[in-house]
Amino acid sequence: MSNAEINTIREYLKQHGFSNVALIDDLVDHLATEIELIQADTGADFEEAFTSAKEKLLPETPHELEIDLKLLTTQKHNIMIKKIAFIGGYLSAICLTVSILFAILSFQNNYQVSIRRKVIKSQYLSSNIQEEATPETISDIYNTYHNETSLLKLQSLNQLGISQMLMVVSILIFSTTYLPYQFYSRYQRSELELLAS
Amino acid sequence: MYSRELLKGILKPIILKLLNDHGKMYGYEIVQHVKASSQGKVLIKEGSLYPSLHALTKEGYLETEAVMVGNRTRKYYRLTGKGKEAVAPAVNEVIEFQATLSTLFGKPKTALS
Repeated sequence: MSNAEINTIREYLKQHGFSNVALIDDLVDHLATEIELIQADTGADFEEAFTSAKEKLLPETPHELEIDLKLLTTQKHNIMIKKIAFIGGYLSAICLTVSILFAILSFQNNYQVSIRRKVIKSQYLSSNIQEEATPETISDIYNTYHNETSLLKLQSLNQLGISQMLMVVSILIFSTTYLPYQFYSRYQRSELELLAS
Repeated sequence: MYSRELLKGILKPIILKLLNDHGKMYGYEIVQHVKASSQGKVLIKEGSLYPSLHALTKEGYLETEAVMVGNRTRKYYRLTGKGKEAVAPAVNEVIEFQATLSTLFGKPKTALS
């Protein structure tokens, strides 16, 4: 078979969306062997034999072969990426949920602190503070109120800190696992669509 | 001729067994050999063969040797060490599967039985 004929087969494959050099080499040899056999059996010219070989050997849409190859050779890799992405997505969702829970607890405790202080203040003022109390005495009283609720306030601040930390962890996990997977799978899909078109 | 769906699962053992028996083969040779050995009942389509050969190569079961035939490259596939180790388990699995299918569907009865 001449160089020009080999090039015709190669160009035909490239025009039909084949880009994998190893696969093109395999198919060129496969088609060329079939063409040679057809020519030996029937005496047909290259064009006739090539048409018969294409009809006999290649699927209706030849590029399907390369798509199948791509799917088959990246299957394990894709499964592993999917697993990592979904585990990452799951962990991220858990972190976000717990973070929201801690934020709610923190706001609740903070609210309780302010309510308690108001209650204590009004109770104390109505029952204990006399009209002639000096500003220093009132200041001491306020300090006492604050000490009584400071533990709750500290707890609220701790919870807010944990919530913020979990929120950061959640965003980090999401942006390093699930998000890249989404981009990667969309990229792959668009590449396959390009191959198919 | 068996359907493509039936052949899909046994393509890998077929390729491994053939290459184990014959050393090295190229794609066209594999298709023709299987066709002849099975009296035309097992027809491997090129659309299934090459993706499988490439996947097995990528997984380390096969290696290739490129030889120039006239003005084109012919790739011969042969088993690697890992591929040779995989032959017996793959073949045994098919044989076991065949036995299970016999118990499921029953063996063909003779006229006298």
